[in-house]
Amino acid sequence: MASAGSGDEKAAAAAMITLISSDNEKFEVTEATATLSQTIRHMIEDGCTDGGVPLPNVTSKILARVIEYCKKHATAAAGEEGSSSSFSDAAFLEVDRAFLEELEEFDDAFLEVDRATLFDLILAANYLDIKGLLNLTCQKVADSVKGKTPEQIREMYNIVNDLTPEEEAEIRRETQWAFE
Amino acid sequence: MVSSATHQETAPPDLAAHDAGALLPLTPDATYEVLLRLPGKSLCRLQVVCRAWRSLLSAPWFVAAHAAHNREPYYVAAAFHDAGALEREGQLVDVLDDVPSLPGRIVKPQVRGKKDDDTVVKTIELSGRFRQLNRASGAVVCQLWSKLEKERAARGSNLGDYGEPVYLFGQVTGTGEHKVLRMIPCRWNRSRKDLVEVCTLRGGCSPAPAEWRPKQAWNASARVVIGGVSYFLSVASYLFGQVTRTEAHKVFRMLPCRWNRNRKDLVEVCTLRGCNCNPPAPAKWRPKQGFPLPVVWNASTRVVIGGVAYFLSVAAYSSIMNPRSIKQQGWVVRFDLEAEEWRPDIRGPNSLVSGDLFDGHRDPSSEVITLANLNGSLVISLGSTRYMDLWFLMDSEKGLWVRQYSVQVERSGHCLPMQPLVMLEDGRIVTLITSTRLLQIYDPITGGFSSLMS
Repeated sequence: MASAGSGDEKAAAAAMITLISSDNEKFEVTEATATLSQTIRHMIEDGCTDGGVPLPNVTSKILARVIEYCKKHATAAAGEEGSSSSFSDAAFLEVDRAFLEELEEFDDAFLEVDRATLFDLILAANYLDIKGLLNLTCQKVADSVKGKTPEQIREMYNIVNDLTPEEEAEIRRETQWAFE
Repeated sequence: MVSSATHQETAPPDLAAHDAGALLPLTPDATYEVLLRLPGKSLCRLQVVCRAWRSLLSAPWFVAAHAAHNREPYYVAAAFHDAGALEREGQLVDVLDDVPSLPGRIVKPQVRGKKDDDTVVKTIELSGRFRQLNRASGAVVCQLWSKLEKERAARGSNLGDYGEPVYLFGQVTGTGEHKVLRMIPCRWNRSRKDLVEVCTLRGGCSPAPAEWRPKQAWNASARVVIGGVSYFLSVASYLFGQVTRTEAHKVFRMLPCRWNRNRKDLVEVCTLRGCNCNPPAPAKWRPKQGFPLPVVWNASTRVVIGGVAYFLSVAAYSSIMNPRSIKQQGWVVRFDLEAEEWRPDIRGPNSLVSGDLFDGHRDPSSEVITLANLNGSLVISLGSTRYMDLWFLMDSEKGLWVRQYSVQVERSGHCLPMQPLVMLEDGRIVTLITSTRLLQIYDPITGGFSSLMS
């Protein structure tokens, strides 16, 4: 079941890791995919992944999405490494560029989820310490917040404004440039 | 403003105290991660959402962490005549010494007699936007976008594997086109690969996406053996500079090597060759002495002036951040690019050290210290939310600094720390608001600010 094509000289690429979600579902992934998570990488380095890695904070639904992300991005990393020896650098970089666009499309599609799922993905990315995924998902939420007025934010997140009108007016005066 | 040497202040102190968990339906950690990615303007505006948001978003540690997080690549090249004329894009670089099939070259730089029309300021902001600025008028003559952050996120799995890109600006002699060469240091599992790309700056004010044309990549093993110990090389850091007398462009690089807790930073220098050498000889990296003192390595704490590279030391940085441990020695270290050796370090401003810094109106937690080249002078800029003081180096041997400007930041209406980038010909100073990456022009005569014309 060796994934053909990539890493011929690397026996380690075939090593599999079992991840166990909070609802006890098991996921088999390659070490290359799993080590996108710094948390899991450290566990592998410490040699405590025998018998599977329990992830009590991540449901199977979210873990499946996280693995989907990691697989795609692990392929990206492996592809870049693998191809560098067989092409001239200019050609390699051209390939890189096409792949980059593909990854960007993947990421855009990946983010097409409801808000609850997006928040769950952030929590999982934060817990598993997957920088790329954390950045992607947090940026998505930040983008949805940044153009909003304070009133819209209160409505979106059911926040009660506990500032007095005087306090609010004062803060608005201080930060007036930001409302322009 | 932060560097790898001084990470610790970005850690969120006691988020729970700010009730940050209530800001969004997320854990405090994750909320913090989201808010760090908001633009400064949104952060200001959203302070009126409720008391908890106000409390977090206006907290000095959060503002500092936000600025540090958003230190993403931007770069400033002061005067254009620092950069050489680049011939054709295919012949730019021979930094990349083991790619003999792709001979790279750079033409001998030309310094123009006139300094009005070809003197421009370029900045590359958080978004990767370049702006080219006419130094005489302060007008933006062209700008272009480049989604560096996104490119990097998409390219590889780990952002930590990419270093800070460095840029070299130049003008093609024949066509007058301005081009930018960028070099992105990166590291994959077993090797280092430093990417080299070129892009043309086009006129007109509508932002156009940057088209980076890949050129070459420099590959090397990520392991090096020194004294029988095998070290792991992490991402390299580069600096371009020009020797005044010979006008030769040189590249200075630092290769951080780590092995367990041992750390050794290798310093190497090479020369970008002119196109007249035939056949083009591969560049040779010449090993040099390591840094005499630990330095803060980022775009706003190093500057090249007159063939000398200046770096702000960690000692200077910590003197500002911890007023109790203030030291005057060794604020700036310098490397002579022509002789290729270190010169004696420069001490910090006298009166700063004697307590002037903390005379009541200052807040060390929001201080920003940077180096700048203003009209050929080395300047230490100390910025806070209220003041930006510009100390000009008068005598490097004696460590004599004079505070020539004390700018009231409040007049800008932003109350955010800023740093100087370049002095326009009429004496106005282009400044960068550190956290929001907005550019403002300070007029010393009126004490007022104006936005960049675009």
